[in-house]
Amino acid sequence: MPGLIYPLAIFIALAAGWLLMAMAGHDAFSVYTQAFSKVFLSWHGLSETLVQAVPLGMGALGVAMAARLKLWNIGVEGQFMFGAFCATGLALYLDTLPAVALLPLMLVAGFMGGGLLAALCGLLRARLGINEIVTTLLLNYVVGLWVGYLVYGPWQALGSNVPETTEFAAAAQLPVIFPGTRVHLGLVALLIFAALCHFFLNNSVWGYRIRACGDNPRAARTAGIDYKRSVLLVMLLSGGLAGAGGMLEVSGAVHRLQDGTTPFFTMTVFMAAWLARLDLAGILVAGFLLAGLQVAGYYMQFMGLPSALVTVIEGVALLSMIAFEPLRLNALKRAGKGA
Amino acid sequence: MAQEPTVSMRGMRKSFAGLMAVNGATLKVAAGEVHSLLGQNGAGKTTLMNILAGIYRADAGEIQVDGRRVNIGSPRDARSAGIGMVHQHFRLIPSFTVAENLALAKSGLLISRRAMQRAAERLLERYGFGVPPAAKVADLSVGQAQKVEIAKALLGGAEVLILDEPTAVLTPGETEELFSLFRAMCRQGLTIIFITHKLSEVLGFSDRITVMRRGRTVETLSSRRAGQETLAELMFGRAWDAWQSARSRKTPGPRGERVLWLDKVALQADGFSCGLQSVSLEAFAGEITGIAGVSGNGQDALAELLIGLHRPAEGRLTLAGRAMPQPSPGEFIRRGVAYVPGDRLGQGLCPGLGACDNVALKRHSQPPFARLGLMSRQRARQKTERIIAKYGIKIAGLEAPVSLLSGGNLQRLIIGRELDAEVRLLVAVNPSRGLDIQGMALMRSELMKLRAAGVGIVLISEDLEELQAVSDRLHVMFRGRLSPPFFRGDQDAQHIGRLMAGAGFGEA
Repeated sequence: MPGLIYPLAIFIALAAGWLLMAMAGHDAFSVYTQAFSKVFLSWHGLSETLVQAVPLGMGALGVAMAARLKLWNIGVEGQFMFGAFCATGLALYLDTLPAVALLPLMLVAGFMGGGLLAALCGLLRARLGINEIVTTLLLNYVVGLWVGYLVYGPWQALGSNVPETTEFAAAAQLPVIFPGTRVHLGLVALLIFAALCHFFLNNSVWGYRIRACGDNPRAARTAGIDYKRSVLLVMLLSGGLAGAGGMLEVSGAVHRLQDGTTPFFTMTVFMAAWLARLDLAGILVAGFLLAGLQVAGYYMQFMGLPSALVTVIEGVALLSMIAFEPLRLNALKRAGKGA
Repeated sequence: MAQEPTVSMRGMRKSFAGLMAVNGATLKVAAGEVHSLLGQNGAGKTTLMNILAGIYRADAGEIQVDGRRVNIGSPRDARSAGIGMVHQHFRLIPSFTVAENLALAKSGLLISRRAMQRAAERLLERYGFGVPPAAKVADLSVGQAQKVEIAKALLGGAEVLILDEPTAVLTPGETEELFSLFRAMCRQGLTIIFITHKLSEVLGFSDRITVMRRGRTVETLSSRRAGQETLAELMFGRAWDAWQSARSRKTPGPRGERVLWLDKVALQADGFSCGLQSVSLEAFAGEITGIAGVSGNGQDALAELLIGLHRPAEGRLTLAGRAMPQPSPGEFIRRGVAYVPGDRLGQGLCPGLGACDNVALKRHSQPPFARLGLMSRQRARQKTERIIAKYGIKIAGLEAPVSLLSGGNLQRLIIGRELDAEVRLLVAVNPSRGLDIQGMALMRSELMKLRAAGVGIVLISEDLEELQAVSDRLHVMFRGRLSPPFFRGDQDAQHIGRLMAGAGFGEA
């Protein structure tokens, strides 16, 4: 049973969390049941989970897109922030436009901002062979500092001490789709982006080239496919998805650009992508579950537990998955032979 | 033979994923001799020796050492039977000294530095290795490092020592030295088997020679009785008579269009490829141009040049009358160049994708596979099903990764894809290697069909029997250079075997 490792990994992760809580003198059982019922069985928890799932899902799609070409885009966080920055620029300076014009423009700006930033790393990789892991990672810091400069300086809201811009005009805010919650149109956008990615990879010529290059660059080149161009394109799309995620977050959930990157964003996003083994539908599920775990973390903080506990549980879950990978592959092989 | 053989292998067989690497090999090696195992690349020499050394387990066959039947299932078994092997790629730790590396061959928990040093000195002294035991392996020359490998095998208790292409990495001087070391070792009672494809070494330095061809041992003969020509004939097959008498000199009748013309093309050597030097080659429609040669003499570079993957550093490439100063694989495909690569999964297919996606690979952006940038799964599926039916490919599903297919089915899939379009020039590299009789027959009949249909074919192969069976003209390749063409019925054909061993090219 190759699929067995998922529940097994989650079980081990929960057991690790249990152990830590027990050592700190908490009643782990009641923490788990409370957190679970609050996150998944209450309207508020569920809606917050959906809000959180949007940036995670978009980032994970970006990671998965690059991974199709065996590239590691560690810079989704930077691209996310840069997309948020580009969208914010439009929101602040074109606030007279109606929503139907402004929101699509912001989305395009976010996508292109994140995409071009990643494409730069793709260009360095394709032309000069510079490792994309290093360049994308380092750009995270550049973007973080740039956004920090803006929200502490020229873009800081007037008369405010908090490092953030003023609240966006109503036209620059994505509408809420479930009244009474914070669930915004970005959730629909996420589903559409996932569907588009699926269609692109499986039904378009360019998607086919990416799959061929990812599987065997040498055979692809022999068949006349330009590998370097595929690298550029895939990085543009990967960063674009993350950047669009940034736009959806500032326009839908936060309504302003803030300093400080989302902690552990890259790690969580990678986890969502790899838990789903880069399967796009799986990414939506994994993104939802991990978003739930994050919301559970907020509740645990209310109960007086450190939010780092969530990070521990996430980490152990991923570690267990990786550790079980050989088992899964063996099981798959056996299943293949039997067929 | 008066003496019982110290090693005897009988009826050995070994296949990898459906490819027969060794197919009925028999080898008898006498104690105290230098025995060479001669054959082209892919003849099964290394596989046979890896079986003896316990790296691979044979599918069938019997091994005897000193008259006793042994069951060798691991390198440890081989060691305890007194068999050691020195591989082409050394397995030494560069940052360790010679003595430390030698200590690795010994088992035990604790190592006494003093004893280790002394044991190493004694061993190196005994055979006159001339390697200082305290030197770091990283500082040694290749020849010296090889001696450390040999010493390591001896320390492990080897009485029969196998060396895989030991001279491939050595300078001529080091080669001389190595062979005199062999002599010294044999005088002390050791037996040596070495693998090679160089004729000159075999004659000069071994007592007896076993020739392998296509996974079989062809003959064992004493080096005193053998001559270069006999060996070349054994190594490459003796099919020349047929080729010569097939027709008297090819009639210079109406000839097809010249689909390919290389005019003194040079290509820089890089990495593993030896590059090309002033290669001139013509291929005509309706003719098969064969390229013979031992692999690694520039065939891969030539094949990739012919499909547009490389730009010539010098010279001109003309395709169907059109000069190609800026070649690209995509353009060559559009001009009707089909390619059956030697490395099927590595260059011909995407192993992780399904049959449909692989059939679409070469023409994925054109109709019927794609329109307006969108792929049509439906049409790819239809095409794939047709190819599968036509070539009798055994396949689990159209979307299952093709890496699950056997070698013969992979080749059929590639052929089906490449020929499912208008082809003017076909470049095929070792197309029937590893195929069973049926697959080879199919390959051959496809080639003849294409030839009849007026396709120009460049057949690059290590298999001389195949080349002679189908080629209209034949070149020999050696160290990046190409001989002038021989024609069917040409008297000079007898020399082809010798050309392949490098005679007649001068020292490059």
